[in-house]
Amino acid sequence: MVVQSKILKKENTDIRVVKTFCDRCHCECGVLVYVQNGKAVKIEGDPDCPINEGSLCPKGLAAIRFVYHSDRIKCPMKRSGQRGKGKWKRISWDEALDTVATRFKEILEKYGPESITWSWGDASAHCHLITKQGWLCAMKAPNHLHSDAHYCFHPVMIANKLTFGEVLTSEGSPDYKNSKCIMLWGGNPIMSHPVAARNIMIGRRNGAKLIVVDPRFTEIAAKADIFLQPRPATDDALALGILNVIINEDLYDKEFVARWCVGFDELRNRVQEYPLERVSEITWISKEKIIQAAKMYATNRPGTTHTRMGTVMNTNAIQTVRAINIIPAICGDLDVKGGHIIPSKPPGFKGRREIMDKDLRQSPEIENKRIGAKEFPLLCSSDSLAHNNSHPPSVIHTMLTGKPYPIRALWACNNLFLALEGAKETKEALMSLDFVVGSDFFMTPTMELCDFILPPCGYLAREEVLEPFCTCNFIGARRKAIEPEFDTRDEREITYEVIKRMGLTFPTDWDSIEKQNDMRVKGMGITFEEFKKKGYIIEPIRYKKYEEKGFNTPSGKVELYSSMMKRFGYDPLPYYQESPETPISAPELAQDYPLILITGGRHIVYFHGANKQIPWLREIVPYPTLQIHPDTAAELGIKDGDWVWIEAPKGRGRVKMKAELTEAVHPKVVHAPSHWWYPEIKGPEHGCWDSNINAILLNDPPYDPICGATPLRGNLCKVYKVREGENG
Amino acid sequence: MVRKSLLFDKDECIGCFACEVACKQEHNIPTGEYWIRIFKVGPTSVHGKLIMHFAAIRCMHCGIPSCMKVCPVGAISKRSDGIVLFNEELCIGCKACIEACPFGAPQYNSEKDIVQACNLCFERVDKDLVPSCVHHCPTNALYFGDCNILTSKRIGKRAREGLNLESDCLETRIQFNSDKLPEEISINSTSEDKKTHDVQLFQILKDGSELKRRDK
Repeated sequence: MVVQSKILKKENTDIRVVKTFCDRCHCECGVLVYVQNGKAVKIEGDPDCPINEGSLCPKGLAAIRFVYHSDRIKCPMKRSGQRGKGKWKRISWDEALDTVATRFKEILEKYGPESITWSWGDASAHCHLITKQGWLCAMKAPNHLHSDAHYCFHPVMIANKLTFGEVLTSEGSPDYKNSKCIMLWGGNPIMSHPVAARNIMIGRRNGAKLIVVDPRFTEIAAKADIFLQPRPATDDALALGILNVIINEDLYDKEFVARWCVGFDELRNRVQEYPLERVSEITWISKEKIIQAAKMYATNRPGTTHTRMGTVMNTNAIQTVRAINIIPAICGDLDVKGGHIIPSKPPGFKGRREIMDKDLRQSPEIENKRIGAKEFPLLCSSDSLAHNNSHPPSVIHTMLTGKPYPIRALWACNNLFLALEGAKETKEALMSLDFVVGSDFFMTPTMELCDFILPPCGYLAREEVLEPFCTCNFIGARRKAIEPEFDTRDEREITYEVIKRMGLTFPTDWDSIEKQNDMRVKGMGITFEEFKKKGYIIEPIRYKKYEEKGFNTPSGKVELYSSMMKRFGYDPLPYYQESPETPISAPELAQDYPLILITGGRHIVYFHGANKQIPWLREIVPYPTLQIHPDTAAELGIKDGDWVWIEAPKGRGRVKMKAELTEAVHPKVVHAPSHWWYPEIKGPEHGCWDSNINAILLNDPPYDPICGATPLRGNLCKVYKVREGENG
Repeated sequence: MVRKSLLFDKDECIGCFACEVACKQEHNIPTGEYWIRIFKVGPTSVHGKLIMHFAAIRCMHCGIPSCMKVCPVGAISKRSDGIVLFNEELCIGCKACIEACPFGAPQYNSEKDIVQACNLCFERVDKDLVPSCVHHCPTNALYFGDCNILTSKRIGKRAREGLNLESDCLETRIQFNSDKLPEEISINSTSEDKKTHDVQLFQILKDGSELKRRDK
């Protein structure tokens, strides 16, 4: 990097530069905000921030066009017509907060604490997560509709904790910069986690080999030494095949396995069920390539293995991630330089997970009333390894059926219809509720269904503690650059106010923003004001910490054979299971629906459903595009840029996207991005049924037996051209 | 004066669009107009292996700018350090420069009825800062600085990996004060695989304006 010695500060001396952190995604890069007359005028990457060293992604750069966007929800509002008709009236904060508190209180008294829930989203930073959890605790309410609890980070967390007792294979832990071999599995960090991608590219420049496993030839796959293109949803079989090679060819770390792993003999027996001929037939990857990848990984030590959403959006999620987790485990890549670091925060710092896992827990009686506690105890019960989440699809079902108890009110802080599969049912469920409050930046299709909207301010107006997702051992202080935009407020303040006006007491003593901020760093002997002056703190990385206390599992070792899974009645060893709707498991259905649909690939300019209304970003990806192989497209008479229907079987309906003819996908596979809506189309629906892939995916069983994941990658579909004048 | 140079390394470019949006913010550029633009080449199968690259296309600040030669009002000039500048006051919006440029770099701004192009953030450069696109590039695929230092630094790195810098990564190098046209500086190749690919990249450089990114 060319060293930046100066900050661009034109001749205008009235420009103030505020060092803070971006929050347009979970990477939370350091930024410099230029403020003139109280208004942010420019946002640049902070060269002194070790996360991004001056670089910044398009989302962070275009945030300047987000802050004062004319379509922002600018003030508290209440609906003036029927719900969902898109008619609104401005009201004062006092009236809004009082009425919302009164309505929540009425429902709490009438239906009980189980009947109120909230959904977390991108509009809320992680600090809001703990504040809203405090609200649930104050009501003794068990349900948090965390819309990706069953298939994003949490299944990885559960699988990691079962195996290592720690979260080790998601973004922050892998030491990419010093790794000798980076294996990326089911994710394209260039698009989803720019900071991780940057670190991977640094590792690669430092000589790391790169193996990418993805049904799509992605941007990061283009940089790979080996690209493995499996049939969608067969990652479990592939991982077991790789383990077969590593174990049978004696390429594992014998010393580490003997001393620190349990269940190796059982694992050795299990992988014999996956000879490469079988694995090759299941996954479409040649035997030679599997051997090549396994050898490359095992002989370039230490390595890292990164698992992302592609591996968990299926009905064998936990076992798939476990199988992949075991690869670095038996190669001895844990808590060593260039391997998977067990994260640690500065001593005395109060981490988000500690607050969620310890401070804001409720009694087992309450927690076990949570929707999903019985069916998915490791996700939802008091024994959960990913605390304080309900099972999202079941919450939607409960809203509609009232079973096992009524859920009547929701505080929606995200765009639920776009974020959750079974979108049509989700809308129906929201419409059936007695009371819906929304907090979001823009008038999304979900916000349109609310009774009241309490709009939050953006990150430039907030002060809080942050723990960036992609950077190990890092804590930072977000500084306030401007006053809240328009008539918006910090969402934590809104939550604290609602709690107060409901006549409830916050469950801990940090019952204001200031106290919350101080609480996080108090144990370090400093106040938040002092922390703000430092800006950030990095806890030095120490290696092989497990030698002191062992791993945080029941046996104190890495559990290749999981005792927890055995206790809960699951197979303690990973296995392969065919997804429920593939040409192999549903051959008859495949006759009419011959293509395999994978969904949800990200683009860097969007963060989930956000940013579609920012022109600088929208012009980069103006439409949703279905990736389809040119040969397949030619057979179907589809040309590049044609609008096409993607139709799912069993009457699930169809949505349309523009065809992108590309060799990035196998001729039998198509890929559709998620979260598509059109802010420019008139409300209240904003075109949310036109291209929203979640509208043709179901939230019904079968689920992953452990975490309740739904099969979203590797279903059947057919694709055909949209005729002129044809509408959905 | 230190001769400065900008280097684009296609091996490091990950196609993240940071340079595009950084440029938009720095110069407040409307939609539809690009002073720097990322093009994706591929994926395409070469000898059974998928290949994909990105090219960052912008004003190359040519040694002998063909745009400058055709401008009827003298609105285009070249500074002593090599930066090519478009003068908004003088431009009459005739678009002759757009026709003349081999890279599709000059951009017509319909609101102002003028043509604009990358000015290499000369205001920043004059303050010893790097252009905004370079500042925000996450992988250093865009590099700015002393031409000689840059070249030796890069060659050093590549040499360790057994690659030849001159032929492997300099395909869109901008060299100020050079007498050569960029075409002459740029493309070379070492292996058959690369050859096919580099020819494609070269085509983009030549016909940049005609290459369509999806949906455009």
